Amino acid sequence: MMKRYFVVLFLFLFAGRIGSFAQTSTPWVVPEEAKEKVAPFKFTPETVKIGESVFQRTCKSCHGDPGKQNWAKITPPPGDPASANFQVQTDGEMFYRIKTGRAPMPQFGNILSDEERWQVISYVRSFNPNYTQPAPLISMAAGAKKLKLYIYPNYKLKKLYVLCNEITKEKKEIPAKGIEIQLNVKRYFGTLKLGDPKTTNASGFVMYDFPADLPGGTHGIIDLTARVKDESGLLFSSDANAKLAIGKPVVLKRLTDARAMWSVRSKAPVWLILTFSLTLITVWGFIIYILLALRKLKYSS
Amino acid sequence: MDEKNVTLEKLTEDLTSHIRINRGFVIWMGFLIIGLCICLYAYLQQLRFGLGVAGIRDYVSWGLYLSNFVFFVATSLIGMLISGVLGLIGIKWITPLARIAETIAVAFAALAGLVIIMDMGRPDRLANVFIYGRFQSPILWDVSVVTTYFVLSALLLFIPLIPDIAWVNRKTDHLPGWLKKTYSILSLNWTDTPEKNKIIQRCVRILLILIIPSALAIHTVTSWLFAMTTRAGWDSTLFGPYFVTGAFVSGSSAVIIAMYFFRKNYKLHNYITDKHFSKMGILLGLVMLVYLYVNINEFLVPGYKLKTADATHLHELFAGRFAIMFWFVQIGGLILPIILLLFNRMRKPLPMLFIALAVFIGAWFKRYIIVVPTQEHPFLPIQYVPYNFKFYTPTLLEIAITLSSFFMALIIITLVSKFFPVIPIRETAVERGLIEE
Ligand code: HEC
Repeated sequence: MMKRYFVVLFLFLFAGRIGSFAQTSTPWVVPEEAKEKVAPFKFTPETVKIGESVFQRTCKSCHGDPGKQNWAKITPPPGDPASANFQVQTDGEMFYRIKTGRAPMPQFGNILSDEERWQVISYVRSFNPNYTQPAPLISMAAGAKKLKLYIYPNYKLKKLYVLCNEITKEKKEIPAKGIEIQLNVKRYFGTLKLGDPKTTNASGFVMYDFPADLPGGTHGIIDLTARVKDESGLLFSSDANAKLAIGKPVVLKRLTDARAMWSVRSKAPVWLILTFSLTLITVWGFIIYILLALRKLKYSS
Repeated sequence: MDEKNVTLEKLTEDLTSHIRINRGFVIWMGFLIIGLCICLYAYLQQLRFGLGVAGIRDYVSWGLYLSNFVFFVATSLIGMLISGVLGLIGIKWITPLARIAETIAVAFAALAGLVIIMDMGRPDRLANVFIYGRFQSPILWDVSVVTTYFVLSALLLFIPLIPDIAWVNRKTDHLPGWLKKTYSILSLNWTDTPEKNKIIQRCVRILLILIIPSALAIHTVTSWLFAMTTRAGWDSTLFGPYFVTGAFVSGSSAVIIAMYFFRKNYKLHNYITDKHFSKMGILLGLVMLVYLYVNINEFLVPGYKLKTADATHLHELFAGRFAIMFWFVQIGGLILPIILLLFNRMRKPLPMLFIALAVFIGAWFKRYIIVVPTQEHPFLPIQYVPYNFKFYTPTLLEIAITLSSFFMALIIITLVSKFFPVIPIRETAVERGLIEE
């Protein structure tokens, strides 16, 4: 009887821990074909450097500095990218996990380009002396393609054309048909999708209207990115960027522009300056009057 | 003695006999000056090593000094209540008390200015308040209005004194030469002519009217130093009236204490009578009732809604770290005195002295309760700081520096009351029909 009581107590006390343990250990499954994916270019000091800046900007807040074990205190723990646990992942696993995320790890599919993701991975790998990069997969499997994107604005027609070319083995560019293209606009953090993906026509083009109502800073400039949408994971592409003055210019009024209570002295509200000064002048006027009266008191006989 | 039958000579003799340098005075002043010197040594330490010698830190940055400042401003308001309000209404019994109240007002207003400087790590930068002060800042309003109120109070003390100074100068021959010389300078060639009397009357009248709004302003603005923030316990639309009514409480008690000692030491029993104590007792009771009413508003209204920050704050006061001080102040310094003052027997001089002392001390701690506790619970969490940043405890040096303000105030009050008639001679004589107006 007593024994059972203790078992119950034990379960009661540790249930929470077991529960949370179970939660952290749920495996994060990566599809087989994604595991095998490798970077389309060779990791060099340059790619590490770009990757580092991406990491500083977008990963450090949670993962800390690689090697310093100073990740953010959240559950599940993000882990140190330089640690052995982290480095056992294949490049493909990392690529997939960065792209898809799993709460609280954000989904970076839409925020970073494929290229940037590989660059971050090259940075993370630079902390692993035992790492050797698998040969970049240029000799492609069936259906694999290397693509290149271009953006052409037509201001008269207010249209945007995105051209998608395939780069052949002979390094020649030919229009790629039937590729899904997503147009994005850069925001403060991440990107905003402009409509749904569109499929390229026979000449490799998709067409969009100029976005009518996007706010675009002081000069109305919006930062567009065209990106290949790739479910298969077999397309290697770099994004096309264009900064075009086709947004609505937005000049934000600063809170300190007008006279206000919270502003500097020279921008004090007029009524306040008047009230303060007039009150002081009035009272001190009377004080001076009294001092003069005292003078009169002294010198009148 | 029949009050009516005093001759002018006797009256003058009674009201000026304390103007002499006697042993009691020397011992008392010696005590004050030695005390002040010890405290000034503490202040020198602060000047040398900086504000770090005090217990104030980043979170609780307003401690004893600021509480003391509020207390001094508060107490100085009594000049306006007695001379201004009661005087303008035409209440007669205040005649022998007006100058006492005015002296307290001048001393406390002067010290309020100094106390603020004690709270500055770099007092040499005081002028920056004016050079760079913003019209939007209650701090600029505060220094302006404190200065103005001090000048008004000093004038209101000085101008009615002029005829008395001339009179004393004429009637006393035994006084040392330097004192008589000071008298003749200060009396501004006074002669009792209708023309000169008219000038004085006009000046006093202007001052009595001006002193009322400026006294209200000085303490309302002081309250705004707090109420213009969103902190629990300070974020209140009632703060102006809260401070002003509280000021009358501490000021009235200060006047009662002063009355008691002047009457005893300067033998003024025939002029400051039991009747005056009784009247002051009623006045004190009245202002305390009003203050109690404001207190109920200040605690019940947030206490009913219990917004998170208010809840923390009120809990600290009612049952937390400050509970003992809080209940001592509210019961010992407010509720109990009100009840006691209801009884005739308690409004005699000696019981009144003790009641006034309790109220006065309670009023000082009340300022501490208003200023300090809420700062220990800022809206953003206190993190990664040494332990002594989290809870404020005044240091010994800080206490000594705070005490110096009381020594200085007492020195001013002692000097003024010792060398000038405490009770207006001319006015008393006119009231008693001894001289023509
Ligand atoms: C909001 C916080 C956050 C940010 C920002 C973040 N991560 Fe993560 N990351 C996590 C968390 C939490 C996990 C663990 C998720 C899990 O196990 O469910 C994780 C897991 C990972 C994993 C898988 C590790 C493993 O051992 O399974 C990789 C790879 C990864 N992050 C890379 C990145 C990269 C690269 C970036 C920047 C582009 C990034 N993370 C940004 C929180 C974050």
